[in-house]
Amino acid sequence: MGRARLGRTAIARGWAQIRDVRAAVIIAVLFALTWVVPASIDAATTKTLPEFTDDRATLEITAGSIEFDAPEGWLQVPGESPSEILLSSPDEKRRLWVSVTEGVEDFERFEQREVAKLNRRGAAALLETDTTEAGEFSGHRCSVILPASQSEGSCLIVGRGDLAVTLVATAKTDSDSAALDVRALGKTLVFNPSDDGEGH
Amino acid sequence: MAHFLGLARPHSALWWLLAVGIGLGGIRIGLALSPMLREDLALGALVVLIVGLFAALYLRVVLCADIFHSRFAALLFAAFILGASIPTWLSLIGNNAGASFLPFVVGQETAMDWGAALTGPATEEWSKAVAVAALMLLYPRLVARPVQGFIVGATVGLGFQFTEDVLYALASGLDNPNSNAAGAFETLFVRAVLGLSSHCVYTAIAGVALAVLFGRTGAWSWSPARRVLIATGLFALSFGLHFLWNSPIGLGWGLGGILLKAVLTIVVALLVAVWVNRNEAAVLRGFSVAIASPEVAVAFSSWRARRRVLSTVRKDYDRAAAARVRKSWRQHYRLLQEKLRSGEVPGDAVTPGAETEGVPAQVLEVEGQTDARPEEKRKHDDAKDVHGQQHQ
Repeated sequence: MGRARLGRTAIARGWAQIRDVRAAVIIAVLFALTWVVPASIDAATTKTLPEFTDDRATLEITAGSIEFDAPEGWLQVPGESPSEILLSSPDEKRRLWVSVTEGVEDFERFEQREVAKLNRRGAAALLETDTTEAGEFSGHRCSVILPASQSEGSCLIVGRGDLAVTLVATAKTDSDSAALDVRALGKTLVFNPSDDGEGH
Repeated sequence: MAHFLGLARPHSALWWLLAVGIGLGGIRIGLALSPMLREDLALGALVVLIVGLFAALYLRVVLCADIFHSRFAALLFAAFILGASIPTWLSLIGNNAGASFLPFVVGQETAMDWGAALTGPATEEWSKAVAVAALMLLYPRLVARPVQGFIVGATVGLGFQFTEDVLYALASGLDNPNSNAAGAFETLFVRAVLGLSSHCVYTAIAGVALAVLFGRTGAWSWSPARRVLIATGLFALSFGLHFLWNSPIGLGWGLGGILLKAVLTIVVALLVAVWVNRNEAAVLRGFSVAIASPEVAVAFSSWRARRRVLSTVRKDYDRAAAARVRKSWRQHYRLLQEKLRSGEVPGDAVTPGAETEGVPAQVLEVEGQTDARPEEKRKHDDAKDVHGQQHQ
């Protein structure tokens, strides 16, 4: 009993010596605003994905653009670069991500690095050995599992000159429909060089 | 460690907040870096070393703006660590949230072009300014005047930039289609070369704004309303420069556009540095006249007057003598800064000349009497002048 009282007294004495409590609270609140404000706006924003209405999706790069057949009636998820696109099925159970990379010096090495990149982002991707032709491009197919979103599907990494295109199509495991066929999509890939582009 | 640097404040809740925040921020940034370091530890170490060297170089440049040696080295170390941890960690979260909602508010195209300009300055400038404010509240005597706000702000900015550069360089390395090193060094080159016109400038200006807002205005006596107005203007300048840098404005001009923005930022930083140093000179001049011999006042006079003195010394003696004069001035600055930090008032007199040991007293004379010649030489020259006048 006496020991507990002594402990309480020590704590009270220690607490009494603490200064700047108000300043600490104010600074903590001000620091917290750095993420609370954007997070609150993010939570309050209605995120209705716009429908992707074009038949063909176009990805812009410095050397020109890459086109492919977009799945009908799908929605576009905002991305950060004009050289990549993320599309989602209306029920949001299937997804298609397509990205173009320029400046590839060694395509085989790029394929390995791309698979490693997918793995770093939480996917479990595995490259197949058979070569696949995809329109003007050629490369390899790979299988992909996304444990975090309980999705799986396939990917295609194809190249032409110093250009490479990565397609990843997934579907949630509880989805009625399978993921899109990346091989079929790959066959619709077309590279349009810009007027001043080198044409690769 | 902070205890040994003289910055430990174990009775301050604010000190504990920062200590815990630095720890948590460090862990969070460490977690963000760990996949990159696992992939290529050697590259990671090299990037940290190079970015660290550039940070040291830029700190050296920033310290050139601290003409009157107002800095407290341990505080700069703490400011760097603070800038490298809490603001970077919180800004990462804030920027991610911003990138998530912005396309739905301003549209996909606009978000792609202007997203970095809209979210970056808002979260990053805010969190860095809060970090500087925390240091100002915790160490009021060490960040007591605008020039100290400038230097501490710049150092918080350098710390922020250090973490950001390491994160960006390693991420670019792993995302590069060809090799880790190629991607990392491309990013490192651009960020290192343009590093001086970035976070350290924005936060230096914000540091001055906070000093003004907190009434730590040195020789300026402004009403509270005017202080708020000036501080708001400086915050807007800091935010505006960051916004301009992140925006697509000028990118159409290629490298020229980027360099133009960098030069503009550095010019603004120089103007602010000159402004706050004039203030510091006025503070020290007033203080030095009260505590030391008036002969040393030239050390706190205008840049031109100091150049004139040094030029005279160089002409009449040699470069070594000019260096000795500069050294003696630095001693005066440090002495006065120490007294200001310890809260001494002008009444605590110093024996005139005691702090100028080893320096010819003649070279320390006040402006208008900047004759640095020894007595004998002066008499000889005067005689020559009289002789010359007689011949005319």
